[in-house]
Order: sequence, then structure tokens, then C-alpha cells
Amino acid sequence: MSDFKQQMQRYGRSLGEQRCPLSEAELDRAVRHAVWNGRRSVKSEKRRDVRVWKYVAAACVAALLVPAGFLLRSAEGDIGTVSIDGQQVVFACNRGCGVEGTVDMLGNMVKGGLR
Amino acid sequence: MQADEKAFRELIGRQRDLIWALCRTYRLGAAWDTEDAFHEVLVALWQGFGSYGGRSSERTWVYRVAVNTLNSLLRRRGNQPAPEMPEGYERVAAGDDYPDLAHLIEALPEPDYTIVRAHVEGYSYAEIGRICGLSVGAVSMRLVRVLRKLRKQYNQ
Repeated sequence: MSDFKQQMQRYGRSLGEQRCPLSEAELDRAVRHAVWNGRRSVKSEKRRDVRVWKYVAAACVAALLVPAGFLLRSAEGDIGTVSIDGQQVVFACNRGCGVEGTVDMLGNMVKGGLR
Repeated sequence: MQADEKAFRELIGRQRDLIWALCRTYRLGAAWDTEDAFHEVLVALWQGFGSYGGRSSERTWVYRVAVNTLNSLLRRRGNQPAPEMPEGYERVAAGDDYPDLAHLIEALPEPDYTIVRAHVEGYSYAEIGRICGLSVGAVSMRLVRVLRKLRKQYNQ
């Protein structure tokens, strides 16, 4: 076997020889923190999506652009549906991000938010 | 603890050494504190856990998420692959006599670094393809090219 191949194998072994030194209690704590932090950042992302869709819907109403079921693409590339219900606009992101709600003609949130 | 949290905890228990090894040695771990990186990877794994769905092997999925997270960390911190052997190298390869080769591998750009790394760790071409988002053919082609280049540099 060539020297190059031997050194490659040794390099590979040195990478694989690492062992996680955390105790079970420390690992449990790390997992709990990750779950908590993960949920917090998803929630924050959804709040941003609510803002985006609220303004998309209001802008469409203002421009009288909204037949029922009209498909829209937000500035961030999300596809969503906007429909008129009386004097209000119902919007829902079709990406499955959990954003849906109703805004009035001034763009104020009437109901909805995160599913 | 909810069912998905329990399943997640079990997955982390099974893959803890892999995650730790990546955080400790990816780009020789010189750019971050290993425990901080470990935590960042756990958060990313948890966020992707719901959509994982077992489409690829658990080990491959964990590897891919960890590599993506560590590369994001590198970009966020403005760190480039170290041009010189960073402090900490000795911890990875203490007493070994092959710093030149490790140095050459660490200096590879993405995705070549991850391809070579996963290759020497024993991953198949198909697994490396799933980790890097490349076809098996592309992995094979890149690997042959990079290994040829490394061998040439190493023998100089």
C-alpha cells in the first residue's frame, strides 16, 4: 500500500476516534435546550411570516387585485391564497408554515396568526 | 416528555459520537467551541426532525445536517479554512507524522473537503451524495479528481 493511502487511512481513523464526553445528564440537558431553542426560533419565523402575509393581503386589497382564491407569491417566495370575505381579506400561506388570518381593509389583523 | 421528543432524544443518544466527532474535527474544530457547535447542531437536528421521515439513513441525515450547520457557523463567523495548521491539530492527530496531508485536506474548498472526509470515514458514494446533495456519478468524479490532486501535492 502506498504511503499516501496509509496516511489517508490514518487520517480517517483519527476522525473516527472521537467520543462524546458528555454524561447522560449533560446530554439530556443539551437535548432539552435544543428542543426549547428550536421551538422558539420556529415561532419567531412564523411571526415574521404573519407580518409578511398581513401586508401582502392589505396591499392587494388596496390595489383591488384580489379575486377569490387568487394565488400570490410573497417577497420571500412563499405561495399563498388570498380571498375576500365581505370587507375583510382572508389569507393563508400554502407552504404549510402555519400562517393564516384575516385583515380588514386597513391591514389590521382581525383574527388569526399562527395555527 | 412528548413522543417526538423522546424519539429525538433516542436518536441523539445513538448518534452522539458522530455529532461530537464532526463538531470536534470538522475543519479541525478550530473555529468554534466544540460544545457550542454541538448545541447548534442539536437545534438544527431538532428543527429538521419532524420532516426527516427516514428517507435516508439516520447516520447520513445527521451527518448532512451537522455539516450544513457547521458550514453555516463558519460563514457566520467569517472564518475561512485555516491556511496554516490551526491550534488544536495536535488534539486530533497527536504524535502522528502526517501533518502535511491533513493540512492539504483541511485546505480543500467545499464540497471537496466533505467528500474526502466522508470517504476516509468509510461512507459509500451514495451516502456521500446524500450528504452533499450530489449524484453518485458527481461524487465519484469529484473524488477521483481531488484524490489525484492531493496525491500529487502530497508527493511533491
